[in-house]
Amino acid sequence: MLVSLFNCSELYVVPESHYVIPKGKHASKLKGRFPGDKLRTLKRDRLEFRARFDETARYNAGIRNQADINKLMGFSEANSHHRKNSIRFGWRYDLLTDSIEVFAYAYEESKRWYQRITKVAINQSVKYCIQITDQAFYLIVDDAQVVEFQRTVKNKKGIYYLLFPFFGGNEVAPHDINVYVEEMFR
Amino acid sequence: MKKLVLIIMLNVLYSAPLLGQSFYRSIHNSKSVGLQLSNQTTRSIYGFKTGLNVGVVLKSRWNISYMHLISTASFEITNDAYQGVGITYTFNPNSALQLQSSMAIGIHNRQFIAVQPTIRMRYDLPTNLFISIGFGRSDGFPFFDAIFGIVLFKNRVRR
Repeated sequence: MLVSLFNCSELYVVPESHYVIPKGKHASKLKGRFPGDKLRTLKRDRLEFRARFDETARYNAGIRNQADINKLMGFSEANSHHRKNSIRFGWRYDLLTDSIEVFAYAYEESKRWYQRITKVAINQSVKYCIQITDQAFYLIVDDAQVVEFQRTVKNKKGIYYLLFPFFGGNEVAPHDINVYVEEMFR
Repeated sequence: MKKLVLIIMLNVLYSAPLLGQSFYRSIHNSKSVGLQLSNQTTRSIYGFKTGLNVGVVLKSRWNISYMHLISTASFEITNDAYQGVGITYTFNPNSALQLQSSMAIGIHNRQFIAVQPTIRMRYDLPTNLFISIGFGRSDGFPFFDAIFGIVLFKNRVRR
């Protein structure tokens, strides 16, 4: 009886989460979920999800800030503040090709590092994965594009708090921007 | 009206010593220390985990426990283990059906520390057995757990 009570597989159907970065803000809000659902920590050795950007991801931030990298999802590393040690996927809108450039974006001992991975189309649902090993993070886009980032923290046991869609850079969102994320837990 | 007030006051004064006596007894009955051994099974978005839970009951309201859980084989996650320590507070320890609040802090796969708060209902069965069902939220999804165990010994201080 208890097993059937727990099984309740309908409770564990993973919906596509809708994050909105409000106009004039940096941080995103998770729509239609409980408060506190963004207070999460990593519990296994990978973060895997599908994400898509809709038309609201188009923006023109001007010459100075168009190259700034926004953040998609990732996590801090082993009790570190995310500006000290963290790993994320980054993104920015490319005006010339009307597409989203995807980056690996990391902080290592407070030093920022990034590397372009690939380009995705507006409204295209793409699979992202950050795989953790003892020595490195592997950022994988659509099971094809892989970027490796060496880990330098000595003590790897700790809290890895999750990081969510974020606009900026120093610029705030010029209008409401939607990011749709479907996490993969198994 | 004055008669009514007088009757109520006399009733309160008359019953106060009896209440005091019950309170006195319940205070001293609740001073107990016990050891609990149980199986704990959890269900989260990551699937089922099951394993051992060993706890110490202090003064009937507080329980400190250690748990070691592993993922069941039906899911793809391998070597998925959890070790943690939990603290549970019982709001009504003298009832057979108890309401509890619990906080567990543990480590997944020897690397990832996480905190899990839970609200529980515990029922004491005959012959020192008990069952407890907990509910929480984890990663934006419901979290359930069930504990079925036995109280190995319980030292009561009677006066």
